[in-house]
Amino acid sequence: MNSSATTKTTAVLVALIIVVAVVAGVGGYFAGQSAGYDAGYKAGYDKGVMAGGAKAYEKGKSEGYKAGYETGYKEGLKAGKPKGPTLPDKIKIGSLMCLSGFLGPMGQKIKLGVELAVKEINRKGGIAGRPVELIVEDTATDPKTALEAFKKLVEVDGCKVVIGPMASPEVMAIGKYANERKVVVISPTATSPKITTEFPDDYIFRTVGSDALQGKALADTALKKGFTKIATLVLNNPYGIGIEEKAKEVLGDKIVLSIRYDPTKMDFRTELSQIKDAGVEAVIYVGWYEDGQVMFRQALEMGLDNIQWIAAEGVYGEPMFKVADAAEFMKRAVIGTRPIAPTGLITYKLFAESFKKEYGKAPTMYQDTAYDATMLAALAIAYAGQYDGAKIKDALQYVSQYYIGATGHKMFDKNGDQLTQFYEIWKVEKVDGKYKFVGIGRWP
Amino acid sequence: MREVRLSEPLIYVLDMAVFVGIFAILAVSLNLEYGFTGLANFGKVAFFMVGAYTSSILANMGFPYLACITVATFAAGFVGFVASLPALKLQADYLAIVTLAFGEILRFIFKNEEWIAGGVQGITVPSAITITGVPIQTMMLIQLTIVYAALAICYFIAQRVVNSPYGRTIRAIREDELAAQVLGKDVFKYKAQMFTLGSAMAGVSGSLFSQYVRFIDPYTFEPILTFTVWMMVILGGPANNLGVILGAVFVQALERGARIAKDYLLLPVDPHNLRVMIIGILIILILMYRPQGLFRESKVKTPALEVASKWKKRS
Amino acid sequence: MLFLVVVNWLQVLFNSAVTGSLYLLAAVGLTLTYGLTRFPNFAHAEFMALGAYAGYTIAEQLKLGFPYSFIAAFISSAALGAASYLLVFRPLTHRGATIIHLMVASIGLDFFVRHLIKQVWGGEQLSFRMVWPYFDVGPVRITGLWVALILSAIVMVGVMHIVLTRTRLGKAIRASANNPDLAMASGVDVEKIALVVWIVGAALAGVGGLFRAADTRLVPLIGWEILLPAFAVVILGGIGSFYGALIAAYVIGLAENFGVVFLVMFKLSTDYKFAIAFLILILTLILKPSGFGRLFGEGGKVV
Repeated sequence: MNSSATTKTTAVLVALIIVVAVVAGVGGYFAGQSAGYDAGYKAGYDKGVMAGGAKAYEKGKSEGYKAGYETGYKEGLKAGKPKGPTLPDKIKIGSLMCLSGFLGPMGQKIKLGVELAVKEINRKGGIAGRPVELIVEDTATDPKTALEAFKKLVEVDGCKVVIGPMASPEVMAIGKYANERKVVVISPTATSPKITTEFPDDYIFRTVGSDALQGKALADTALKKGFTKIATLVLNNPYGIGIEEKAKEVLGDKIVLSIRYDPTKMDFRTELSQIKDAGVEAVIYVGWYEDGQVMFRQALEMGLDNIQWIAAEGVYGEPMFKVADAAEFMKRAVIGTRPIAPTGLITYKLFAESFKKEYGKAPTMYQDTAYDATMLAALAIAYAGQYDGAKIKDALQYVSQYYIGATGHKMFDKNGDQLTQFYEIWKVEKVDGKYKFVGIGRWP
Repeated sequence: MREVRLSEPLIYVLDMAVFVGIFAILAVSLNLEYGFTGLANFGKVAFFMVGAYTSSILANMGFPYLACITVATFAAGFVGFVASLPALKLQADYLAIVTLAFGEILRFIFKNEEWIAGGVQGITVPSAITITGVPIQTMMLIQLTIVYAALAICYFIAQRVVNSPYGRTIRAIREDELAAQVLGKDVFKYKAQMFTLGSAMAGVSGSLFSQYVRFIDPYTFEPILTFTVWMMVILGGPANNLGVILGAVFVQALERGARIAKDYLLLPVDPHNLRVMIIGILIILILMYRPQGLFRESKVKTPALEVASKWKKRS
Repeated sequence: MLFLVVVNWLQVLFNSAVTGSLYLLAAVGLTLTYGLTRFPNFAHAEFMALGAYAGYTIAEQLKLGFPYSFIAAFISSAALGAASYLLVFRPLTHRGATIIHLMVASIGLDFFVRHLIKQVWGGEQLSFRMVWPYFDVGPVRITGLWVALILSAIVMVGVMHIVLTRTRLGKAIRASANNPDLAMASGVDVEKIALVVWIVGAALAGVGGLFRAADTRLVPLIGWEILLPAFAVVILGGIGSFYGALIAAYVIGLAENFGVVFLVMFKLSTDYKFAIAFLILILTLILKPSGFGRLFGEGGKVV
């Protein structure tokens, strides 16, 4: 053989070796990388597991600690609390409203005042952190039904405070039972002076002034206008008669005709004829919406708009305008009084704003006194610290001294009556084709 | 005095029980007049009212309760007697209308004459129980005792009257007045006596009512009260004293139940309206399909009959 | 105690006519059904009430005006009258119900219908918004509504008179109302007549109720306000006598309105005005139960 064949073989061998080496090197590199990755992965994984478990462990320990701590604290708190009566978890306030019957339309509105107060209280967390539950019952403007509803609120629902009832005869009916059962009763609207005499110094309170004052206001208005021949036309119930008697006291024999009418009758032409025939200059009138609508309509028909009618607040309200003739008559011939809060009170403004925000309209009569009654009740309960009638009663007397509500300073005298009451003198005007009430003065 | 707070609903039930007792007496009194004697007294409320006002006026003057209720009973009975003289000569429907009108006139008088009893303002009445400082539960139980004692006495008297030859006579008058007359019975005397007794019983009920609710006014005594008592008698079964008492329970329970039910049931209908509508329909249905009422007329059980039936059992 | 009150006597006279017309519309149905089916129907109050409420719906809620509400009152009460007779009172009579049963059933029906009305329309007082013209004729104040009421009464009387005297139906009605048994024996289909009477009587009552509501206001108990004076008219006029009721209605109208004048003179409460009708009722029943009917050879009940 010759050397060129050997050289070729050597060259091929060398190339082979180089290729193998390169391949081996490259393969080895990758193999090494893979192995290194695996090893590194495994090592890292193990370490990570350990690290994570430890964190969780730590976390669990600290949370367990927290939970244990809180529970322990609560129990300890309960155990360590002073033993004695406290407020229940839910504080019940009952309410007797006329949702049907004569004062039905008025009652539906006044209920909103009570509900607003409860809503506000609950928004702020309730009384001492406990929510207020309002339970409303309908008295149907009937004393018997009022008593039965009251019994239900007291015995079945366990209320110790009741806002209402609205009508004076209803208050008369439940008064004795309330005193026996030691349930505080706060009426925002019952105005008969009889309530003062029948229920002095006990569980019956009211956030509106007694008609002993309104009777005087009406009589004074008549006097100021110089009338000397006056008639009285009033509802035949404690509300009307209370005012009639007071007016008689003030006006004496200027009153030449006194008529008391039954609101259920609904046809008053005989009474109106008497007034017409008597030739008086003015009429002091006490009525409610339903009878008032009919009375004024028939009075217009009979041409009695040429004398001055001076009315109590029973006919003050939008419902009167439902009957066109009644509205027109009021515009022509009626002025009246109604209880109001003192002017310029910030508390009233705040109340009115809150009311408008909640219900979308401005408050009308008596929703403010209902609101105040409810607020006073809540304050009394909070101050008493217990849900006990006698304690709440004493507390109520006390907190009223310091409470300035939507209708002013609501301090109760020892009979549960208001010390003062202001009245606005109003009349009816037609503005842009719509009737509205307008204030024209104040009393006193 | 520890007040047991848990039993509050119990008091409501006890209150209902008192009303049931008071109305049961009225139902028995109407039963005597209508169920047994066939008199259509649509003025029951008038005598109830006389009893209530008499008792209240006397109580306010300071007389002890036993005196008040006694005088009230006699007063109501007397008024019943006077009213019966002209009225009982009339036939059933005329009697009904006259008694209804009479009741209304009486109510007008009480309403407009304030000097009698406060007119429309009503009067508050002291309770019959004069002990003070007693927890409400005890008061209720005492009231219950008084009312049910009165009911028991009235029931006893009623049963004695109807389970006797006298009772047979009045039933005979109810069935056929002419026949009874032919047999020599002074029909008018019997009718007047029963009417007077029924009115006196209504007076008892009125007195108990006034001292329990503690406040009465003319609006309490409207004709609807008479009609309610009629419902009780018709539903329970005329001429069955026990039946009418159960009728009283049923009607009162329905009334009280409706007020509580409205808190739990969400009906599209006002439960009060529904309740009255149900009673109205029930009355019509009962009169159509079971005019003798749920409970049949009780048979006359005179002592003679009892002895005779014992004999029969022996032989 | 007496003091002379200046009184507008002509006004009182006019008011009597108004009151009388109202009572007449209410009482015609009552007296005829009482005579025919032989029991006082206390549910008649709801015939009046339903008419008023139906009229209210038409007039106020659908705003169709008074003439249509008049028709609505007429029809709805007529339907109620028919239903009452066919579903309640006729079946009861067939089952041998006594007078007292029928009376109590009518009370039950009255309860049912009144509370049904209350459920549908609510118990609140409702007022008719329409404005009636009013004017003075001399010293007397008159409103359009009153004129309508009196005219309705006059028209009704005219129609009834013609029907009762000139038609066979009318004669059959008079015979049946006066003495159902005799009428039946004479071949009159008393039950068919009864249905007609119930329907017409109820319809008139409905119209009466509507007028009353428009004149004053509408509450569920409006029927009862007129029912008791209506009974007085029925008794005074003689049960079953149309002509008796005609006279009695205006007599009682006069008694009530003039009575008020005297009440005031004697310083008594004007509330007693209603007691006047009741007193007349009681006195009539005790002294002369057949009322005015005897003048026409009818009225009272044949036992």
